[in-house]
Amino acid sequence: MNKHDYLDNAFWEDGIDDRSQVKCIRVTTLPDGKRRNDVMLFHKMLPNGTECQHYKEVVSKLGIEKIDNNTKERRERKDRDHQEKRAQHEQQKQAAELEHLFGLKLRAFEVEEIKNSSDRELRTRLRRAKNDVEMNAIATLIMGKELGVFNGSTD
Amino acid sequence: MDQPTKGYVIVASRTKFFYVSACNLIESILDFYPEAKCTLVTEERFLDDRGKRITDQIIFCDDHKRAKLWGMAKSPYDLTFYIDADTEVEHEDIATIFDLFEDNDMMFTGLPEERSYCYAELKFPGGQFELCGAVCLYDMRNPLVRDFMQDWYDLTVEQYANRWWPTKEDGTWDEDTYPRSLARWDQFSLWWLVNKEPKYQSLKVGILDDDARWNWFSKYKFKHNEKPIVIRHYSSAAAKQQDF
Repeated sequence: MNKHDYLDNAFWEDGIDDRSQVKCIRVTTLPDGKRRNDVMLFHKMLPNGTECQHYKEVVSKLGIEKIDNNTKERRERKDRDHQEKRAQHEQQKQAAELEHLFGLKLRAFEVEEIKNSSDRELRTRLRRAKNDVEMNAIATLIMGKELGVFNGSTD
Repeated sequence: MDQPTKGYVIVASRTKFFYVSACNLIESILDFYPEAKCTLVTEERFLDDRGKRITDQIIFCDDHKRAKLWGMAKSPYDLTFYIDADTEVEHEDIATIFDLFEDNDMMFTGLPEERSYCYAELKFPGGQFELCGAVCLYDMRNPLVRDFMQDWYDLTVEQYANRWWPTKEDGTWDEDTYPRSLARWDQFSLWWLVNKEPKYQSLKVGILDDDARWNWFSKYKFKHNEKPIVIRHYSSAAAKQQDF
C-alpha cells in the first residue's frame, strides 16, 4: 500500500464551526518515488454512524489547536484577499470612469462656444465635474450663457 | 540678485488629442495658480485662440515622436517644471513645485518596484529604470542641465532611428546587457545619460518626495499615496484614439 502523510495546513471546512469536517492535503508517495497531492475532505462521522478513521488520523496527527489556528488564519487571509480584490475592482472602475470623463471634458472644451467662453469660473467647474451628469449640466450652462439664452437675447 | 524665472513647459505634438489635452492641463494649472507662466510647445497646425489665450509663450515644434525632449531643452524659464500633456492638475500644491528642488539640479518621479505592475519594462541585465520622465523639475541656470536636456533629445533621436546603442568592447551593439526592447523608451536614453555618461555624473538628480502624487497613474493602487493628488496622468485614456 502507498505511504501517505498530511500537510500541516489542514483546516475546518468553511461555514461549519463544529469541527465535524476537516479539509486537508494528503501527500501520497507512489511506488516510483513520486508524490501526489490530493485535497481531501473528511467527515467526523460516516453515513453508517461510525467514526471516520482518516478524520481521526488527521486530527490526532495535527491536533485540534493547530487546525483551529489554521482555520482562523485562513479565514483572515481570505477576508483580506476579498477586501483587497474589492478595493482593486472599485479602483479600476473609478479609473475607467475618470478616463471616460476626461475624454468627454476634452470634447466639451472643443465645442466652439465653450472653447471661446471667457467665464473662468464655469470653465473651472466644468474641468472639475465629477461625473457625466454634472459635466453635461455645466457645459449646458456655458452654452446657454454664450448663446444668450439666460438674458433672452437668443433671437 | 534677480529672482530666477519659473514656469511650466507642456509639449503637444503629433495628434490633436495632445494639443487639446495640453490646453486643458494649462488651464488646470491656472485654476490653482493664476499667475503661473506656461509655455506650450506645439505644432503650428494645432494652435488656436484658446492656446494663445492661456499661454505665456508658444514655441513651434515639428511633428516628431520626441518633440517632448526638444521642447524641454527649449524652456525659456530658469526653473522649469515639465509635465506630460495627457495629465490634469488637481491641487493647489502645483504652485509649490519650484520650492522642492532641495539641492538637486533635476527631479523626477520614481519607478519603484512596488508600483512595477504599472510599468511595461523596469529591469534589464544592465540595470533598472528608476526615473519616470512624465514630469521633470530642472534648473536651466546650470549649463550642465541645459547640455543634458539637449543631449537627452539628441540621443533619443539617434536611439529611435536605430543609429545608437551601447556597444561592447569589440564595437558591436551590446544587446545582451541592454536588450533592444528598451529602444522604444526615452527612459533608456535618460537612464544612460544619468548612469553611464561621465559628463553628467556630477549632476544631482533626485526623486520628488511623495512622488506618486506628482504623477498619479490611474492604474496605481490607492495605497501608494495618502496625500491629495496634484497631477493625474490619463496615460491610457481612450480619448487618445478619438478624433478631435
